[in-house]
Amino acid sequence: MSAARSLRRLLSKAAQLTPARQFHSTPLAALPRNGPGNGKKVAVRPETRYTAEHLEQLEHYYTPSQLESILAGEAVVDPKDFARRQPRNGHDPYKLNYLSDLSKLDPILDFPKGEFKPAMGHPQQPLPKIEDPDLKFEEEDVQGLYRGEDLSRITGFSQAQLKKFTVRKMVFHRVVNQTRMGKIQRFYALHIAGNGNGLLGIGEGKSAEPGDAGQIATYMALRNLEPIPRYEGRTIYGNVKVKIGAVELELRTAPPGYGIRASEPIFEMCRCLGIQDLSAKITRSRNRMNVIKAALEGLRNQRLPDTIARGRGLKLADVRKVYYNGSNLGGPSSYL
Amino acid sequence: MSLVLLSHVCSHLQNTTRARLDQTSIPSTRQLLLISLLLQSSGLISSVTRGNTEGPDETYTPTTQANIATRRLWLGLKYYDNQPVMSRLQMVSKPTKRVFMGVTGLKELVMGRDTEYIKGLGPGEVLVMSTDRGIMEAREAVQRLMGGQLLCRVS
Repeated sequence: MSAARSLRRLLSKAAQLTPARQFHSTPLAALPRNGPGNGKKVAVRPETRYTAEHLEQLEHYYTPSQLESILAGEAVVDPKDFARRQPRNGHDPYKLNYLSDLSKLDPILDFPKGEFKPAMGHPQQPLPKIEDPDLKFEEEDVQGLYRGEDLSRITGFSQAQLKKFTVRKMVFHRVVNQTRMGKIQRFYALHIAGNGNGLLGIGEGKSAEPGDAGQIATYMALRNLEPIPRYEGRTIYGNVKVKIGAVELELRTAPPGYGIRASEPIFEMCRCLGIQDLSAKITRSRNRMNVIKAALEGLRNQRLPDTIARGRGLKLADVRKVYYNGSNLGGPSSYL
Repeated sequence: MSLVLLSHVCSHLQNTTRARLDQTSIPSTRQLLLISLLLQSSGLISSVTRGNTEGPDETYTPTTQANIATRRLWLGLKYYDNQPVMSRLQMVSKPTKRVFMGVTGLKELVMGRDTEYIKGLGPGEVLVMSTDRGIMEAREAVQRLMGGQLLCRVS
């Protein structure tokens, strides 16, 4: 109940509260709640007094003097208010910043005054579906086999979000298999995708048609999106050395404002991932495909300070984060 | 002091953590005991126990002329998340080339910058040093404004 609500209105006859419609499929009592009601069930106090049974239970938890003060304190509270109180989840993102019992409809505040006027420009009903199989909506038609719907379901991102992700064509070439029938050619594509804020994925596609290979690669890249830990949201934690096939490379952490000083495939990966400061050196083979795979492996296998501290049983505190109150420093958890 | 023994111990500990051993023994010397205790206080190993070639001592056994050849130090190794907590031990000073460094150089090194051909320390890396005040970590030496000989780096 809002603190601004006057006492007179609160006590008026009209303010007899009626239960509101439930939007949960589970009954209210079955919902888990934090706060005082969590764990053991707190018996709603009867209007008069606790029963002897209740008191016996309470004596188990409180000293006599504590119990006395509790009872004295609760005697002051109006039984109506006491019965109405509801513990709320501490982590509830939709929590109001004031106290209000939303399970009840307020006859004054919760009913609109005057007539309802529909806002202009917005249809009130969904458009009717076209049943003709030859006619299709644009989105369904364009995406073909690898539709955004599937991706949206798999990745958990909306189609609008997925469209905003950066996708880069990194490798594309023809592959020929020599058989006794002759040369059979296929196409190979490797794409990378990222949201520019901590997610990166690579996908490979192979097909007889060049277009299909690219489509498959994009689809797989978006499907394989994974969170990559970043230090302060701009660089990596420490230096990493990786070896995949004949590719050996080292990814090095860098101070703010350093920029990305790396070969082009790694540069593109950093852009997709949202890393601003990094240097990399590839030794031995520079095969594009393997470089990309090795770089992802390196980014994935960073030794995080948290892991090191846990392994050693030490407590870790980021001095910079504490000192600057964490401002503008995206932690490892802020990848979305 | 000879660094040969320490070099062998570094290699041995790397091998044992890769083999996922629970505990292992190293020669019982004063230098190695001090380094082991430093590693233990850094949380890189779980225990340091005196013992002999058979295993760690059950009861206190003094080192005597008769048993000194069989004395060993037993180290308990740690693993977290299926990975060894201590996986890399490398000598900085070598038997053929000792490396000494003053406070100014050490400060840079501890902050992660390359100094005098030595790579800067990474996150969680421990640099073991031998100083006038005994064996200590590089960060502690910087705190005490002391230089010394760089023995090995552990991470």
